[in-house]
Amino acid sequence: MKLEPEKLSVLCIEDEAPICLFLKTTLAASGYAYLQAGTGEEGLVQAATRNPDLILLDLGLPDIDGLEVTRRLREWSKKPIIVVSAREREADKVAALDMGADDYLTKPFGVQELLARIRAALRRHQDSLGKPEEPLFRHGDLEVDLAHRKVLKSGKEVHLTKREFGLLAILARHAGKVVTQRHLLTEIWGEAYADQVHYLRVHMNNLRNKLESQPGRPEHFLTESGVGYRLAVD
Amino acid sequence: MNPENEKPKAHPENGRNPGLFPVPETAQQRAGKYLASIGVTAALTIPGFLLRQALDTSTIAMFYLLGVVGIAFWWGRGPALTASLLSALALDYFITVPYYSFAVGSPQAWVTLFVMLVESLVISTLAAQSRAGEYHRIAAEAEKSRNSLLSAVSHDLRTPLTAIKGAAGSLMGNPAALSPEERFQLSSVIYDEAERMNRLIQNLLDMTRLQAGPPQLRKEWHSMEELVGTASSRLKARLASRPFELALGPGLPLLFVDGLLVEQLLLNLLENALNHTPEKTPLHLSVRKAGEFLEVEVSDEGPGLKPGEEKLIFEKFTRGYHGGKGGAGLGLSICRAIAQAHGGTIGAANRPGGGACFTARLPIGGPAPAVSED
Repeated sequence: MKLEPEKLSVLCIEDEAPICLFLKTTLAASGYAYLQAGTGEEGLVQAATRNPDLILLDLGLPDIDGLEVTRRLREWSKKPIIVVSAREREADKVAALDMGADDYLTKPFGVQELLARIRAALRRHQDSLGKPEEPLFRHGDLEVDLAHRKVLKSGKEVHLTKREFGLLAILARHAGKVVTQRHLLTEIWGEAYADQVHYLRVHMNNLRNKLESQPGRPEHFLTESGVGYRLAVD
Repeated sequence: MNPENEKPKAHPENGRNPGLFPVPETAQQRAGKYLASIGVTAALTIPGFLLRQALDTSTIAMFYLLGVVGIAFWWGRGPALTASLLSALALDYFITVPYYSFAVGSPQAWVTLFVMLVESLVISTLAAQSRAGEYHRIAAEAEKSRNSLLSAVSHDLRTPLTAIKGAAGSLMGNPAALSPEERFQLSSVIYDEAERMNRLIQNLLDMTRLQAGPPQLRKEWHSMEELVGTASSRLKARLASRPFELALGPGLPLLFVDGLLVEQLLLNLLENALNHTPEKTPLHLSVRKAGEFLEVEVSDEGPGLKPGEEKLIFEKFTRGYHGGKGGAGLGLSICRAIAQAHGGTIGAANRPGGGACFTARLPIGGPAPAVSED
């Protein structure tokens, strides 16, 4: 344990000055070091030279496409990337996630949402370094023991089918992070099923019916419309 | 452009409204009308020919006149003049003695021809005028709707903007004079009003998308439970303060819809109920299968609808029953546009026990492809 932990740094690649100001104030107040780049090219340079702990990337940049920035960053960096884009651009979000972005924020987003996503992404990144994979997932009344393939709801064991457990396991391994439909479909059913979203709908319904207290008001299995699913964390 | 053949293609009330303005006729359509008027004249010649012994010529001329009047009214001046000339010739050749000759035996034939020509000119001109009148009326309605859009939008954007500008100005002006509580209140105003603008802008964008012709639906097989779940998650904070009863029938089938749009429909219905009912009153949402449709019902226990509002509230820029806070009265008209785009319907009524009830019916879209359980 360091006695004086060095501040974690966040690089914001964003060209709108008012948004930069808001990000700077918010991040500084929450104890992060703030780095800024107004263009994609500058962002790539800053990412390489300053080595930030997390990158917040607007997909609509004046020079190069945000997706292209994601791709080039992922050629050498494993640091968490959170992309920012408008609601209607699910296709962009999915593309960015498939290209290796960790999460996304929809404009306009609030301070709490921003900070929660940053914390979650940093924590996942930290976990992925060194420590062996956490075999236990707990959230509210849900408990998943990945090693022993056991699922408990309010302390009672629930039987899941093989596919249901498979889905739950992927979501639990990426807990708090959105997992794209394509990712889930190809990993559980195979490449040929990449577009068969009705498989996901049916099996997610089953999971919710078995594990949510109110399937119509889910607490654990959150849908990210048009993008994928997220297992809620605190 | 020649107004006589212009006919507004669609009435603005039919929802999607692709053609407020008349579409120019193609050469093919025009040729079709001329050919049809020749056909009508030929067809009218048959009974005239058969009855030429029994009826006198001026009576048979009435048949032709009827045809000419109809053609003038529906197809315009050109086809009507053609029909008049052909009718006069047919009358002369087949019906008037001497038969099978164009020799005009009597002044009567000349009169018939003249009358028919004048008739077709008068009727086609009148019909064109009435059509132009209709077109102007529709254009005026569109103009009115555009004006109410502008005034509603500018009012609804400026109100939150004024609050934001004012609150921010106060915070900037003399921060030292403000207590922490006052600063918090002003900041809350900025936050809440920005949220209100965000909803309004979202609604405007949705409306624009739905109005730009038949919407491009991105249909997939969706689970209504899931769509309800996503919509209620997005309103979690606001729903938390009141009883919210969900009744999702067991074994609901998947339905083939544009998920984002249906989610927006559910969100708008719930938001509408939240905006127009007192805090802490219960809300209910139920989904059931009704034949080839899924029926979603959102009901509240608020003041309900005033008589006559059931249809009106789905019109653009009509603000809901008993005032209430909200956007520019776009939420429900977006619901209607989304339901219609899917071939469904939406309606509103008062609940027997008090409160309003909104019902959207969406086609399931056939049996979903099978999914193996494991």
